[in-house]
Amino acid sequence: MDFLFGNILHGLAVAMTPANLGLCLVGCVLGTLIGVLPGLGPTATVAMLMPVTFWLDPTGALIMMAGVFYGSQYGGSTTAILVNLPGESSSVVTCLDGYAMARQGRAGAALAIAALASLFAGTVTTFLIAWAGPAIASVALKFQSPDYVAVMVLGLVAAVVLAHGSVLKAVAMILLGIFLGLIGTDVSTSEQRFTFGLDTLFDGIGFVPLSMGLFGLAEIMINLETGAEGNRTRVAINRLWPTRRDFREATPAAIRGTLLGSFLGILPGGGSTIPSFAAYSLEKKLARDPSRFGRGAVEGVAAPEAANNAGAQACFIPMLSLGIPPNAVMALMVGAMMVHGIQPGPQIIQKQPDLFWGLVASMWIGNFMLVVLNLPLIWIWVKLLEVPYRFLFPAVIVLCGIGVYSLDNRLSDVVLMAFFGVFGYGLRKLECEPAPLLLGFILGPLLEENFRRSLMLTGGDASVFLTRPISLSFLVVSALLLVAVLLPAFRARREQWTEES
Amino acid sequence: MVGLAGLWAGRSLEIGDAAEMGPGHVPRLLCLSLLVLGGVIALSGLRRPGVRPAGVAWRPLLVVTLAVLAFAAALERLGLVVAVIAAVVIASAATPGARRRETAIAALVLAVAVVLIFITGLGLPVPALPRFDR
Repeated sequence: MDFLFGNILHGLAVAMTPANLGLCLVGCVLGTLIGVLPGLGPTATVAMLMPVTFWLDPTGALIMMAGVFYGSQYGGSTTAILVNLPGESSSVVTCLDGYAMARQGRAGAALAIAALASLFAGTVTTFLIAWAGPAIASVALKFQSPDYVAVMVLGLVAAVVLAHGSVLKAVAMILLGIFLGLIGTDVSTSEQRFTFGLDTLFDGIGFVPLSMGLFGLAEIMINLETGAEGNRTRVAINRLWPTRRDFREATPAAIRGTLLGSFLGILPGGGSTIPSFAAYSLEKKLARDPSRFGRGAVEGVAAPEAANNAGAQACFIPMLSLGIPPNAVMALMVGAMMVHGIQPGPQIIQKQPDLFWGLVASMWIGNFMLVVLNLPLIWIWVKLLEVPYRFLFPAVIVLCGIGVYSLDNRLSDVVLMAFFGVFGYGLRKLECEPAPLLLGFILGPLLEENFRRSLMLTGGDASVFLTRPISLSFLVVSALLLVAVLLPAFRARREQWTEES
Repeated sequence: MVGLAGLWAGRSLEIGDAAEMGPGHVPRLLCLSLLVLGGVIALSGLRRPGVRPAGVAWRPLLVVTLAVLAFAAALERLGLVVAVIAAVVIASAATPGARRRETAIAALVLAVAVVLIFITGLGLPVPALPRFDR
């Protein structure tokens, strides 16, 4: 315990430097901003920030990017409550009871409950990361190549399980992602693969053009098509502070939401959307009078908001302790680390203590910043909702362009991004999710390297994956997950979960 | 679904052919699985006729892509300001309700902001304005 305490203090010292504090604030403000604005998600924003982080030190960069991610969870609930429009997919369920509360003239109370529940979840999860991260990493340090292969397989399988829509398509997207990741010069033989003689492709496809195209540009195209403007009927905010009764009802719900959210967030494939749905249905099941839900039940705001924030932070655990990103935003953060020359993996906590503990401590600080940003300053964000999308999207296009260019000063990267924009649009039209593709893209080269190394060590004997206990157990879990996802009962349930969003 | 699923299979096929290369052990494995999956998806698409894919909205697709390409074309030769303005003006064609004056103001504001942030602030090595000396 002393060890934990000392490390958190160390982290606070790192996070409290003016530069990092500033970056944390920038991240939180940006996160709230894009959270409030529908049609601009954390994945696209973090992708756009990638080039900017090039000028920062890695710790500051990650602090800022993390701020965007959990900040968007706060911002998303504001839009959900005030205009019945989910700012983020993770706040879809908050619309139900949050907006109902707002229409009853209790918008302020709903906002406060959402923010405080998120703060509570954020605090708990911060300590969870501080405690579980090093523990998992110390186990993971014993991993060898075959074990890594197995963990990555598990991560990818879990991404399939939790992806929206067709399982087959998700698998196909992952394979395609791995494939794209392998384009370029082969690490062990330095031979060119699939470059078609193009100079641009010699170093492989850049992570930034790929993610910005797939998430930034493609999202704009989809939004323009569907019309992200929507009708915006606003409700007035009155007094902010909830009643004592609200607190009594919300507290246990927030605690349950936090637990559920952190659990679902740690799982590979986790994130913030599924926890919020799960937490809402749990509350509804536990409630003595389920009919209150949808008509302004406080628990219906507190539980999903706690759960999505807990999920958003808990998914840092596999990313930081194993180097395995459970979702697209984490994949981007792994990408940012690699841009800075940091090899993600279990050694990070020991080799880069400033980065790990600084990041963990900054999340705690960031959560307090966000409560201030979202309660007293709420009127700023409400004003922002009136900015029409037609002003927003050209700015996003320009920022994507400059961002990609500035990374390497290469125009070909901008063209590549345009290509992936079209590609991403096509994928969405085919109802294929781009997120598994990105995970495959990040993990592909690592997977191949470890796969080949394992086979090299054993002289081509594939049974090594089955004889090592660690790798065997991961593979068994993956297999079970795959079987489960194909079972009809689970399938229906999963569809129900993912379709609602 | 049918036509698009076919496209999927076709694309996988192409990748599969390209895989006949030296250190291509893993790529080949991948391509074969992609091929199989593409086939399965195509078949399941064929078995459920009537489910047509949502139509492609060409306008946003083309306009956004064009805007990015114009930006790329203009950036090094004509400078950041021209590139930004070009991108914004083209992009504004994506929404039917665009007003000319609004677009102009938005383009100018954005251009100034971007020059300040990226050239003055971060020292990005691109010209802000067209260079006539070359």
